[in-house]
Amino acid sequence: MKQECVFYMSNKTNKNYRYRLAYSRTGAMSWLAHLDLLRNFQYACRRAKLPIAFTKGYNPRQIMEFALPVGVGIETRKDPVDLELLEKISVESIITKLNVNLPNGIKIESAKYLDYPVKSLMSLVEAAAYTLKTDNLGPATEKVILVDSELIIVKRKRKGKTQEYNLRELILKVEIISNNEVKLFCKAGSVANLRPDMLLKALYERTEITKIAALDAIIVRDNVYLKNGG
Amino acid sequence: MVKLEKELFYPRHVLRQVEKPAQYLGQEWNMIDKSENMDHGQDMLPMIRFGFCFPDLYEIGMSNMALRIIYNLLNQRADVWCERFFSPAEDMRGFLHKLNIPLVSLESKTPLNQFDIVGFTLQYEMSFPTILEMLDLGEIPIHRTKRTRHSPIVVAGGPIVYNPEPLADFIDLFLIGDGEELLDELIDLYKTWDRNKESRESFLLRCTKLKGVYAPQFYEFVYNADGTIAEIKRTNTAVPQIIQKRIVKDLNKTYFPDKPIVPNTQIIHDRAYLELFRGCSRGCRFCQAGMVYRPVRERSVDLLIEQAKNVLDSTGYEQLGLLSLSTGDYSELPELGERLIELCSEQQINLSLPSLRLDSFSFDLMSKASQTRRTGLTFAPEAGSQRLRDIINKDIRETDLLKAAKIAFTGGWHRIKLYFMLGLPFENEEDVLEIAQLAKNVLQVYHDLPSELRKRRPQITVSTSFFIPKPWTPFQWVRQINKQEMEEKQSLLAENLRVRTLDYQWHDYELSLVQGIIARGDRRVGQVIEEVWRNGGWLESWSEYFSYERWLAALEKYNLDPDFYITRERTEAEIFPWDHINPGVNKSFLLQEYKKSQKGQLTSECNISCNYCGAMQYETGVCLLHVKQD
Ligand code: SF4
Repeated sequence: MKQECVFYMSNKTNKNYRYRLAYSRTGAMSWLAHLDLLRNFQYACRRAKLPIAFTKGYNPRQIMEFALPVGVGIETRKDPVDLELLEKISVESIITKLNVNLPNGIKIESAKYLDYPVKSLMSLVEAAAYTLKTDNLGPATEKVILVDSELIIVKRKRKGKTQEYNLRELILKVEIISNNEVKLFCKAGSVANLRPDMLLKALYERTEITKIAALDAIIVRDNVYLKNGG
Repeated sequence: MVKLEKELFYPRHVLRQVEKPAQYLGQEWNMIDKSENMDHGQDMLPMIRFGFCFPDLYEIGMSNMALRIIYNLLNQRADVWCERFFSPAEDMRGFLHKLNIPLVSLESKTPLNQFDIVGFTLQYEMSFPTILEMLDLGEIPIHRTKRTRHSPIVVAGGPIVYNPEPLADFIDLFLIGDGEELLDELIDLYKTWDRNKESRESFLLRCTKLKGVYAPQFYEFVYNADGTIAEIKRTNTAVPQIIQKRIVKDLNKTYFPDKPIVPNTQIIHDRAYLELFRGCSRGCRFCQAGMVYRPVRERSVDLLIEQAKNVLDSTGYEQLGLLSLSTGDYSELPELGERLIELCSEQQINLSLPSLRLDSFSFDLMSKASQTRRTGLTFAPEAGSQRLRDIINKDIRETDLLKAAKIAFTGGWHRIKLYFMLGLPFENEEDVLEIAQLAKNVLQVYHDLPSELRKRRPQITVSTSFFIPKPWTPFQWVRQINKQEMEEKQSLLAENLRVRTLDYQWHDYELSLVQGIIARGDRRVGQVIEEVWRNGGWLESWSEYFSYERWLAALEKYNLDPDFYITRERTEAEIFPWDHINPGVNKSFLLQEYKKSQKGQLTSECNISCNYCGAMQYETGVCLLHVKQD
């Protein structure tokens, strides 16, 4: 006979304390899928013995919200993530406790206490900045994004429906830094979102850049911009 | 900034085109990195590099307790660095071949062939072709005879090492029994080996001096005309005639990994584990683990609680599992249960309670444990009829089961799974039909309840697998049923389970047949495994990669008859391919059990009385209860 048992404590205080952290990920950690990253954060919170707040109901979950899911193979520099705790503790202590308990390659860069109510962090996301690096990326990007005028249709599934976008409309700004480095400012969030792999695909399909070179690109998400500065 | 290429090892375009790339990159929490101790060259002590190989995917292997124990145990030694290897998935394997990248460790990305000792864990038969694939990807000759002075020593051990012969061509040394102490001794001995002065053969011969080490190269099989074994011959009299299993005597003094690696990608059992005891006192006659892990040795409650705290602290896991053959038999379960529940509710940990007994105490424990959620309950009567349960020595009465079902329904559990085996020895049509009847009786228990207790529709699932006779069990002599019988039994049962609230899940029979061949296979089966692998079979435990035809073709090529291994009933006098290994129980005890089974006689549990199985020689555990009466 076998049984799984679940324990949870009801949240006795009514108030949770919400913190907004900014994390970076590099190296092997940039290859975690979003859900695996989330699990890593949750385990780290437990190891750090933070007074975690849970959702109510039959399937309590730790209250933690990422601004924008991050794709496999993308580094981050200061991606926002919100965390709710049952007690108010200093941001310094949250940062130190988490950083000693996160695997090498994931790091909390900063944190702040939010003294105003926040419904959803995800809905605040407006734009994101990326740096991409691979051989001959500069000229290729220039050609596809800035010179050519042909439509580049990318598809995206949302709530069972497929939406089509013109890739160029998702890009707010392109900076060609060098022959092999490009900076990208683009729409992000639940309404319109550019995934850097869409661009890579457009590049190897439309320019001399090979598929291997395109897929060998280093992709860094430098920033995620929130409404009203978050 | 970090040099990413060095850290990632694989090109980014590869990582971007495989599923779950994180499984190849390591760097998990609690991973052990000794590269700093390696880089300083001269003034450092030489480090023994041990490659722990799990012949399946990361998501399967990382759940394995043997890996957690051995990895952390070996890495405790300053002079050893144990690193992990898993089988790549199909997509990654394609890239390794295409780009000529060898199989490398997760920790330092060192190729397998640069390790001193390479150790495979043997958990299930169908993983054997994967062993060949991993050796080959790791650029180690798959045949032990082809290995040179510089090749790693390839060892294997684990729960199914008690018939090592199907792998005898590929493995240098088998480690029989608990590995904790034996591995330590092996590494010490390894350090005395100077590859430039002493031959590989001579070193392997020295290894056989360690109790529990089997070096197949010093043994030969002589066959009769009918294919059975005439003699197991030693080619060197310095090696033991019988290789005796090693055990750790006192689990309270045995190493426990309280800092297991927390995987980066989802694995099948992503949770912390406690090992309550080793062995099982039940003596079910079909169960190999119940025989080869004798005698029962327990850990104390205090130690278990301490280990639970440590492992939860160090991992951050939110689930705790108990890992033993029959948790309900733990002698101090009431105390342990209470303290674990206290600990888990304090820390909001999910506790899973496997293998409990069907008594009201267990239900009490479970009710206390699950204050909010009732997930599914699994019962394993194994056989449908009392007659057959007596034959297999599974001491569960139908009345107990129905009583338990009643408590379960009343207590709010509405999903019940019943687990049975088809094709047990002496099974007839009646026994199969009784499985269906038993399931219906469980359903009836629900319908007999007063209506206020019948809030949710019950969901009852019958699940069957096919019985495979295993070496070192009382059923090692019996025939395994053939494909046609399997089909017949399964459809007979399915026809009789056509009830709306009953679900039926079954097992693939072709896989069971091949598993049966390997389980009781002899040294000749090694060629078959190799042939299957050469023809593209490598993740054979995954039904999507398994091909029955490929196995049949390989058997045919070597003139081996599947029925010789599967459906043939063995005579009492037959010499088995595993007779030179001894897991502690005697063949005579097993034979006596086999005969008792034919008469439907039960054998009592070890904690009630001793049946003199042979494990008394280890002078520990449950046997000590009975020493004075001798
Ligand atoms: S010797 Fe007796 S008590 Fe010990 S394992 Fe065997 S049957 Fe059980």
